[in-house]
Amino acid sequence: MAAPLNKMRTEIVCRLCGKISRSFVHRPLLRCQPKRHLRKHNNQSREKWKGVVGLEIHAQIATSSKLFSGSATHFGAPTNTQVSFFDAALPGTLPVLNRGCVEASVLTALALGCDINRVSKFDRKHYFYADLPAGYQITQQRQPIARLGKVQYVVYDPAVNKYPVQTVANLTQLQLEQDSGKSLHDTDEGQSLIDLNRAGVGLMEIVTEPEFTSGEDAASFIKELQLILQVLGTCDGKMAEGSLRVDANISVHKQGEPLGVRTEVKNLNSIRSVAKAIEFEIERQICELERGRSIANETRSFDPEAGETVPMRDKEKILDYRFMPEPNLPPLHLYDDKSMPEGVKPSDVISIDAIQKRLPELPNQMRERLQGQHGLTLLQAALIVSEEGLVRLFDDVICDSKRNPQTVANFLSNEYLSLLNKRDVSVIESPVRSAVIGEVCDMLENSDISLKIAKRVIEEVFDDPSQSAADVVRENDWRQITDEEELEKLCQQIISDHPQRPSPGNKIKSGQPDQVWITPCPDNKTKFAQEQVWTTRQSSHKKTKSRQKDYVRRQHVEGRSHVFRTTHSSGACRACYLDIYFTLFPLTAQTVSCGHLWKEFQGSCYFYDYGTNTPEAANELCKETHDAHLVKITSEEENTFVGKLVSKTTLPISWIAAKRSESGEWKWIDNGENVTFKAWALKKKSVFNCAGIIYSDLTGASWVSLNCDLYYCGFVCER
Amino acid sequence: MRLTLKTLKKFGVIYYTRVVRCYSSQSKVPDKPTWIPINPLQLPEVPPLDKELINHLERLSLVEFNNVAGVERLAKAIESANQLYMVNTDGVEPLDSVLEDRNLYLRDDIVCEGNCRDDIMSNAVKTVEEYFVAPPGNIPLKKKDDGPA
Amino acid sequence: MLSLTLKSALSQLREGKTSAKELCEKCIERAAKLRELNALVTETFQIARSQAEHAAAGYSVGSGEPGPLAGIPVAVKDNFCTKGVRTSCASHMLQNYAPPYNATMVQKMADGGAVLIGKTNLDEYGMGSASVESIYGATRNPWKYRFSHRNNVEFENQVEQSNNGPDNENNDLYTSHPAMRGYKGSLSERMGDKNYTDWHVAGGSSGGSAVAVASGICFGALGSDTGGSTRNPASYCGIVGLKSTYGLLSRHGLIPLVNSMDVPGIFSRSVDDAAILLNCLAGHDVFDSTTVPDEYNPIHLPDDISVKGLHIGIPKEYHAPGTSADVIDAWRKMADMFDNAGAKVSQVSLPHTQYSILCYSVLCCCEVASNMARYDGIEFGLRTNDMASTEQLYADSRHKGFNDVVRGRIFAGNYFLLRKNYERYFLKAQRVRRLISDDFRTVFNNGVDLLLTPTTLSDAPRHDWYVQEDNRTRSVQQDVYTQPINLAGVPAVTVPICLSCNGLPIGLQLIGQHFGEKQMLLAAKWMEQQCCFPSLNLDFLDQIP
Repeated sequence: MAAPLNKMRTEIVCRLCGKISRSFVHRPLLRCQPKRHLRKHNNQSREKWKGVVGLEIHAQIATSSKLFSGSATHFGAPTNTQVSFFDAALPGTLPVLNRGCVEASVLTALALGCDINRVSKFDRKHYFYADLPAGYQITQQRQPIARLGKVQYVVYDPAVNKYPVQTVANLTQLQLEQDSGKSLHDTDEGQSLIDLNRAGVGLMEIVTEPEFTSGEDAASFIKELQLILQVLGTCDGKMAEGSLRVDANISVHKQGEPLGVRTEVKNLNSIRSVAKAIEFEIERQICELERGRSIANETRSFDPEAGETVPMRDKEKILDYRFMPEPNLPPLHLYDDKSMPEGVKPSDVISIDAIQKRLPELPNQMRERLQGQHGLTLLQAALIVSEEGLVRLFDDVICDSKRNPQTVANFLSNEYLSLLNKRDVSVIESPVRSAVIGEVCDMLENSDISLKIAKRVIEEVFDDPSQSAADVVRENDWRQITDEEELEKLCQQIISDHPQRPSPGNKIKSGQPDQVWITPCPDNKTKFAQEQVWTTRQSSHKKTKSRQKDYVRRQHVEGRSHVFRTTHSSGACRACYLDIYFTLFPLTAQTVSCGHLWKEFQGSCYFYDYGTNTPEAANELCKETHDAHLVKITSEEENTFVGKLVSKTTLPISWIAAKRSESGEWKWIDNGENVTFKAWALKKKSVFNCAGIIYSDLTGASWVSLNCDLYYCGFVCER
Repeated sequence: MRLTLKTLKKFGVIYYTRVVRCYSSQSKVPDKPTWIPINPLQLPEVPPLDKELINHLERLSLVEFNNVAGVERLAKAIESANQLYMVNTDGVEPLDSVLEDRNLYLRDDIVCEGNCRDDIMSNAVKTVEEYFVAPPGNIPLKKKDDGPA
Repeated sequence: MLSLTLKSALSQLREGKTSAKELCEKCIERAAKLRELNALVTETFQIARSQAEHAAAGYSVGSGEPGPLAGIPVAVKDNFCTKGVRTSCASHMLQNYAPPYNATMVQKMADGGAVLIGKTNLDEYGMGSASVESIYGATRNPWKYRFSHRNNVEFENQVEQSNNGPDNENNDLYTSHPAMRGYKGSLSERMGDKNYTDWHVAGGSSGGSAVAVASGICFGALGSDTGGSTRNPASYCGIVGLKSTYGLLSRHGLIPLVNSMDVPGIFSRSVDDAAILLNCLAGHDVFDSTTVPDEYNPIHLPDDISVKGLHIGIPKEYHAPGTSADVIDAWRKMADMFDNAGAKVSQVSLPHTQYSILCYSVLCCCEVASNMARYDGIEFGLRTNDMASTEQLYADSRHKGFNDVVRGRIFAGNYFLLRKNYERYFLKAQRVRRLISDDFRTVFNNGVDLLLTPTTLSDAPRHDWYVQEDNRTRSVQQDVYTQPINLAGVPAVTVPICLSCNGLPIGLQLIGQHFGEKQMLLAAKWMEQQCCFPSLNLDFLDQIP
């Protein structure tokens, strides 16, 4: 008999150790991964074994032309248009070294703490492959441009360490070499299509010592290296575009025993992949060895969907590259000020000292400065430094002002970054000026606004960068009221507006919807609650006589919601046990009796009706039939409410009364005002000029743009 | 084996010994050849060129040479190269380029080549759209790791 | 007219005694008549004619100074890239390859106004010492050659229409050769009497260029010199062959044999001509990192030369076993001549000379293995139809494209480059190379200005004798005097001195110091003036229709 799908107990086999157990739960949404067992597995194995990981990083040098020829290096150019005769390995062509590449590699080597070799040589590395037209790659095997080196970086894995750890990675060498072309595999025709645009682009190969022990360790190093390269400008570090590629050499061994056989994992094109691939490979090797098998010295590829490494089908790993000196390139001499020969023009040679002077502030130095000068913790400093451009923004905001660095740092690394992530914009691309951020931080510091409002202010400024934070707060009246007298006045005002109120202790029967609650927060330490008008939930369970408990939520500034029963005038919040005293005030004048089948929300009534073709027609229908108008959504809560209302119908999409004007701005169709609150599902600008609202469990209520005349949608009337 | 002229010729050493005698008092050109003989017994032996090595070399060179004549030719080349062992090269650095003491010419980082797709592809026998065509290569196989029995 | 030197031809053109078009036609006619020598593998007569027209315009009054080689017919070895013109290196691999660019040397000659008569024959990829390893057949030495008297008119008509580009349709060895178009017989029939086998080799690997200059097809030619490939055929054909210092002439566009030793070579009928060509070609090239950026001062050779005070060295190791008596005699006589003229002549020692040919063999094989790795048929070159796998396609194409010599050297080179053998062979050879280079440096530092040596072991051998041994053996024998110069990178020039007792030319080699071409060419010119070598004159062919 088939058990229900969503939870069934079945025999599952652990793919690492082969243990079979009935207690593993099969969840169809996840792959069959006995996670708890895996975690246990990892913990047991890890204690005995040690992973040994070395990295080879290939960073494309961000120069205009290639390493040995004058063709361009842009990403995504038309096929085979950035190919010179030398790149296609036409007979008789010779390499000529690009000065820009040498300077970039010397700059990078100095930033990584390497020793620069005064004389370096080029070699040929021979292997046959279709994307290597010459049959060999020009690289620097014997005498690279720089050796040794140290990079300080921060490892922070919340699963392992509570706090970030600063550590050092040692480098073996940094060398210049050529990139190969690209081959596209056309399995239908049984052929590979070769594009040589990338062939000959300059690469810096950075080889590390095999000292990393885990995937997170290696991934943190890669992140640091990416930051350094971006700060220097020698590589844009975009792993997705292939500007930065990582190969990992992984082996495991028991403490005190010699090193094991290593495998090479290629095709790691994101930092997450690096961490996952290394972790998986270490676990795989441990499992294999514990089962008595041996590890083959092979090349593997990483499959990001499966989260596994797989063997690469190929001719066997080429064991002999037959290195030979490149005869067309005499040795490269680099000089410092002392060793510069006389009579040599500076434009003909490279001076190491001149390049040293061009070194900017490196990420490690930035972290030290943030900690030393501004008192930030290592974690805060690491978070700020890890985002490109954020340090500069922080510096601009702090600048000569006396702002609290902690506040600024927390705001930038939490709220600001999360907003930018949501909008898919980087710090550098963000239109929000540092002055505005400074204003917001000042307001936070002075308790003029809450953190949630601060986020909304930044969102507003993001949409209209010409505004200042003060303007936004003033326009929207978001300024937090802190004066007790003023608050008391407000409360009295509301009380006087609502004369009918039950005396404390009156029981409110369930099923009565017309209640309004205002609760001044009794706790002096917390901020006063914002005014929110809620209704109780209608109880419609006539079948059962048991009383549906009605709960009302209050939202405090801190964002915590307290839950308590409506029938009492005082009590403790069921979630946090905070004692709250309140008064019940029934709504009178503001009572909204919405009528049969209408839903009430925050003082307005909503009704869903079926089918019209245009929002104007929907609006007309609402007016004629219901004396209402097509819904205008002005807040997140309203958005969610309307979305849920729509989702319960059989045509779960509704027009909203917004339309794009000729100028491109969205306006309400009744009064022509600009739409301020928006909840688009997609960030991309679409071509359609009308809007609708839909709801999904995953993304919640969101707006979609629709062709004004094409869709037969439902509509929600509001009054 | 007696070291005769015939033996030396057999081993490919065609040089013969004659000490440089006095030449004519006028001319500085030596009357007789001046090369010194090389004793083949002093040279390292040619290692056996077994099938594995030949296959390995064929794989690396991608030329077929696995026939008797080819292997013999290789053996002769190695034998000839072994004569270099008569030269004492202790403390001598290898010479890569006769221009090693000069500064390598460096090109400015400007785009001055490329955009000549038609020229590049004019000699290719097989092309598809604007790509070169090769037989399939390096495609990773999705091979499941061995599970428990 | 065609036995004049380049210098004389230039002065005749300048004085208006002849025109560029006329000169060009005469050379084309000579080339057509001498097809049996197999010097040219691709005839570029149409290109030559249009270039001659352009050069003629340059000589007309009021058009400014004509180029240094304006109107002079030249030939280029078929391993220099010529834009749009087939460049095959005498190999099936590049039989249909037409480069999209000109080699720097070719471009400089064209910019100087020279007129390209054709691409000349060579050993496949420059691997050989007699120009016999070519898919187009061996090149024949015009000295002591029994010319056939066939009427060549019908072939001229075919030549007019001949396509100078790549020959895509017909891969057949004989009929694709321009000399064979329209002819229904076999190559050997065409090439005179089929029983005629005792002709002499032209030397190699630039035999075609040497024959072209010696036989009057052109006034100057480009070759390449890796181990003597210019000086060897120049000596056999009785002309001047100049190999300049490594780094003076650009190798961009020269399909390489050994990158660290290759130098473009110059063939001419006199030392003055060689100087004129060198002045046109020398200088820094931004496409070649192994050219020196120093300013090049053009060489002017006066007619009145004295060698008094010049210190000539006679390296004793340059009497190798197998050297013929004629060569030794010529060497001795020239040494005495220098002595009598007031030069200081002394015997010196280059102790590692004997090993240089072995060192050269190892380094040559290794570089060949590396340089030939690009011939896979994907971007250019011969490609078979095997699409099973990359390796299979490459192996098949390379097997069909390369001859035994090339494949043998690739094989040996890869053996020497194996990780286990790298130190034993490759590095060892490089160390020996440094010793050889230091030998020259020591000798020159001790006050010697120039070295005088033979160029070849003997005069040009017969073809039927030559082919009795394999290519490797012959190269080891024939290049003994020429390749140490390539290992050191110093300049050398071969000057024809006299005829041997067989009536074939003998040349002697002068070796100079790095970038000391002027001093070397001065002494060479003096030698030439003293010897009055009887150059080959084939003007009698002009009488034959």
